[in-house]
Amino acid sequence: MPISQRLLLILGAIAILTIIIRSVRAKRILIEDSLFWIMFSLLLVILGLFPQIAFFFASFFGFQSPANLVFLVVVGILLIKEFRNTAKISLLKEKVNQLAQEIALQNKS
Amino acid sequence: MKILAIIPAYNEEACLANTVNELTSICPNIDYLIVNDGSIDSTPDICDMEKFNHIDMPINTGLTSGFHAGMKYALKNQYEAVVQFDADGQHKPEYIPLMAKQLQTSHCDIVIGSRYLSGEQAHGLRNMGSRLISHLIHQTTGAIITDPTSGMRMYGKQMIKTFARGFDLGPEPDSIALLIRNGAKVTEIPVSIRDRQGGESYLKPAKAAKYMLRMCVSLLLFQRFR
Repeated sequence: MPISQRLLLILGAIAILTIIIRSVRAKRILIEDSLFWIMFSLLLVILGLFPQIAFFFASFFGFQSPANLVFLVVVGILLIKEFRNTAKISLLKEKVNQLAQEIALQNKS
Repeated sequence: MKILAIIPAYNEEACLANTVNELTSICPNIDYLIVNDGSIDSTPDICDMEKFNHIDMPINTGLTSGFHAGMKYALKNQYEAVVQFDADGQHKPEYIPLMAKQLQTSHCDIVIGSRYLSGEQAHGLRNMGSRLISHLIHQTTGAIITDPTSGMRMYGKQMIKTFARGFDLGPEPDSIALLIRNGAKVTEIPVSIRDRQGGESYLKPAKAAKYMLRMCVSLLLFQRFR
């Protein structure tokens, strides 16, 4: 991986970290929910600092370039995250419904 | 001093009644509030049957939210101090008056009941986690807290307001550290605790790992920005 690509990874990590810290500071996100993004930016930094990891797995799985592997890993992680978010929203919908039902029943009695 | 014991309860049918009866017989002058956090066992039935002072969350919202609800109740009813008290029988009520005395005589905001100050030795991973949190709190705030993960804490009047209105402020070590940074005074007194008297502990390995990650990130990174 050329140095410019490695730099890009680290810059991306710094951007994520900045956004997260700002959000925590502005009380827009719970610390609990920021942990994923902290770990995600850490992963980008590790890949940027030690491209040997990407090279090793790229040759192991037969990728043409380590950059392709990095793409796949990032897309994969975000897909999993997206699914978990969908599941979480489902549960939140259900909880809001339960709360609405509960309040309605209380107003009746 | 008007003191409220907040007793968060999620599926605590096995020991809740004993805990509350012991509390009211040893400390008759202390009010309590059970926060039933959407239990799916007979916890709410026990509260109704025994006529315990309690609120029922219609859904399970987690310890932090239940604790917030208790703090709002304390603020509304003008309590001067709040003590966190476990439903599982680990905490001994006889320490509550001692903590209250410490709160008054040392003019501090939070009193922590420390298991380690009383000479108790903890072992294994749990102890290492607690030590690490202690160390991080000392590094980032300069305060020495021997037992940051103790579940027995008493909060003064100002802290009741802070917690009732706070955002992402749970009854956890990272909140204590943040409050110390913001000028709160925290002291500890030695307490001894018992094994839980029934029911199940919620701390599973994956959850414990996430807890430690949260504490480290919160103390090392976010604390200075909040």
